[in-house]
Amino acid sequence: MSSKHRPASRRTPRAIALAAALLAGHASGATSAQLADLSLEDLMRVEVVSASRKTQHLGEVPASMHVITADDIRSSGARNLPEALRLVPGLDVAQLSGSRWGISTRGFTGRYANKLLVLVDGRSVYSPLYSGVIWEAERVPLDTIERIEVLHGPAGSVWGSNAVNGVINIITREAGETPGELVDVAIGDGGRRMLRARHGAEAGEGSAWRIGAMADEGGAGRNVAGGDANDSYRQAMADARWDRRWSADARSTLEAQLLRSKSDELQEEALYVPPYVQPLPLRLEFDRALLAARHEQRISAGLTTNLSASFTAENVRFGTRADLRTRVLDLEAGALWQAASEHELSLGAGLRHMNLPARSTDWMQFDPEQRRGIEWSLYAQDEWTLVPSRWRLTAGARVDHDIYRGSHLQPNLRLLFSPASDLSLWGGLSRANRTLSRGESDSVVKIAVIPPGTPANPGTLPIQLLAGGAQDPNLLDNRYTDAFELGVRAQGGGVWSFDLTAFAHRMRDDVGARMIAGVPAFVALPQPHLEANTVGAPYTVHLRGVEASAEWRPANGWRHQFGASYLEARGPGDASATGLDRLMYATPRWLAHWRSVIDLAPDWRLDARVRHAGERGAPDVPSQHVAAYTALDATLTWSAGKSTELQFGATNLLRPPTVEFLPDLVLATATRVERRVFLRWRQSF
Amino acid sequence: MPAPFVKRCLAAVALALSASALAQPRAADEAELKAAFAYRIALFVEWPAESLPAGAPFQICSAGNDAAWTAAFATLDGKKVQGRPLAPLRAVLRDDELRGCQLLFVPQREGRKAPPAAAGLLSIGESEGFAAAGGVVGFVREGTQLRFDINRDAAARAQLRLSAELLKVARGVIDGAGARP
Repeated sequence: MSSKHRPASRRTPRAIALAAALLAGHASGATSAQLADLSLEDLMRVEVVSASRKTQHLGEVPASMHVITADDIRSSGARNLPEALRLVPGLDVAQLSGSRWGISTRGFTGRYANKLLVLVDGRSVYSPLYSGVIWEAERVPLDTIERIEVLHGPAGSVWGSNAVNGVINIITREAGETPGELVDVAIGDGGRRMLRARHGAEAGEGSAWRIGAMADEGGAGRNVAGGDANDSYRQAMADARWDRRWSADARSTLEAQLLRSKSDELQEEALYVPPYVQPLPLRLEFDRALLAARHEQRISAGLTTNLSASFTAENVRFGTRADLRTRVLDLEAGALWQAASEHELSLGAGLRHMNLPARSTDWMQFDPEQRRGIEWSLYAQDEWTLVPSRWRLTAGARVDHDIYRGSHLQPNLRLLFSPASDLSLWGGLSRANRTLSRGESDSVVKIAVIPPGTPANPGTLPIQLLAGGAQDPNLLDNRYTDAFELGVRAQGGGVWSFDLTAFAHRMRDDVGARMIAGVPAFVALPQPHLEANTVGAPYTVHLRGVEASAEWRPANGWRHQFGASYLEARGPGDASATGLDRLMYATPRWLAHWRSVIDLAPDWRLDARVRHAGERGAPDVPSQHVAAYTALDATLTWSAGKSTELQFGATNLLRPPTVEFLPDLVLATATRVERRVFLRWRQSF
Repeated sequence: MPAPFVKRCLAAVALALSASALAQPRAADEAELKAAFAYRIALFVEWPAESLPAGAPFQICSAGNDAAWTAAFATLDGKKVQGRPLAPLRAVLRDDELRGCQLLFVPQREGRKAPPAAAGLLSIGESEGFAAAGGVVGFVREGTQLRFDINRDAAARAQLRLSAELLKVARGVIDGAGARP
């Protein structure tokens, strides 16, 4: 059977399984018979890349994609999502402090990176408040993850707005796949402790459920000045899930999550008197309640439908600076329809009710303070097999309507050619949109004070700079990226595989608050100062780059993964004046990655990862430079018996405590990321 | 339209189609891969004579009823195990229906609870920990590839003889106490 799975498709794993089952009948007598003719050794070389019930070579996917499995996550010893994502070649994962991360692909890395879409079981966890992912609070229990698919490049036509630079798609396991009890305890230096417990059981008649809880905390580290980095964190989470298979054709899922996360950071507070700036310790308090339901129904041999609904309530309090709420009700319906043997259509529609109240603070003023509205989306995509096993065309488009700027079209056209069974070439043209965030669109923030008697402010009064969309006439109506991509994948006998993608993006967006608009206004209180509005600048940035990855298995029980990526950004001449250069050069030109997993003995495994990140920062602005680094993470696992696993791991070896990323926006001082060790015990019952 | 042109086109299409039919398995259903594994593993197992009645086909059974597995095992049509042709997959919903099954496949959704260690029954489970829980063979995902663990005690209890070659390619071989109650 050819290409019945597109990872970048909207269907859930089970839908893939159903589709696979449906198509197995008439599509692939030959290939299946050949499977049975392979020796055990050869069978072990067949790649199980995608869904739980589906094997496929990545050669079938007309996009740059990497998958990490539950086994990868487990053997790496990752304790949170960013650590797990460090396993993905080409993904830039920079640690800012104990709990703060900047994650992106194809440029524009940052704490507030707003061009990477993250989904959990198809549900976006992209925060409508600042168009990014609050990584420190995004706690999907890693032991329930089946796999994580990371797609480099735009995928808005399938996944919707904000899938501009890439998509991270986290797929979790059904309750029936996690029976029994699990206790997972990790302790590490730096005051890090984690406890996870889970219980699952079957409830008869094809239904199963699980409940779990997790607590995680870490102490504060040191900043570059040697002082307290004020970056400790403490989180508690409870999750529950129930799955039921009504028949071979229908299944339902109910899910709930409660999360409370507290994490500290150090910001800068501007003053109107000398020294004009002082550190401000702040606590981010993030609470979430989530309820989600999904139903999947196979209506006929060629038609599978799914319905999903979720309600998310989030409260975000950022010390005295920000206080926002999110209430999102999301409804989606989709269908996967084998319209003809060579046409596979996916169709869908979504409705989302957004209620985003905010309370203005002295630092962040909202106008309006209340934002309510309905967003909608429609999409259709056809996977057209032009010549079976040879040529396949994917064409699709999606329209998203957001509450700020109306509707946008995101088209996608891709062609895959497989001249041989172990070689495929693909190319794609696509556009993806980014929606405004609540913060960008509706708030005015006191970004900085320019002290008097400086080159920027030769006067005698300090100037308070204000920034924000509420008073910014320069905000674009449409932010998008057009991308052209070409890729090749090859593999040999299950021993090695190779993946190369070249891309060119043209990105239209807006940024920055460096251009003073109008005449500054005099403000007498609390101290006399001037207030100046700033406006952002629309920009066009061209990105070019290459992503390469390879896997090699010299022997059973030993595998290597290599990855290297190169990125070049070209922007307008005034990039340093608008602050765009910080974003443009936030991602290093070079990223490299080598992972080696060795089964040392039947019960012992060593998982070692070397990662290299090149220098960050605009070439001609030394203050932005963050030195290149190379670090080693290693984890040793001992399976002590049937249900006990002990792990010893160390991260950030081979280098002294290092700054991986300079603070974005209002964060105060850079934090040194230190060498860490941990011990972990997993026990199932 | 000149006839030679049409003929050439047809020939090209025929060539493309036949070439695709000859292509190696590049995208198969995971269920089919597991079915193929189950079949290949069975070739390295020796059943006690009394569990294979003369003239009867080799019966593979699956726990629970799922069309996907029926389709997957149907791809083994025409194969033989222990010199016997394979009978179509039989769904087993209760333990007392296991009579006459030589191989029991336990899909993931049935969990990893150990099947009864019936004499002459090779149990192969999809869930991780199936072998540890007292199944004979349990699949494990290793990276992007599929491996399996073997529980030698469970095999012994089922009076199955496993060849050394099979044990050699297994990811793990569990000995000792075997299944928990």
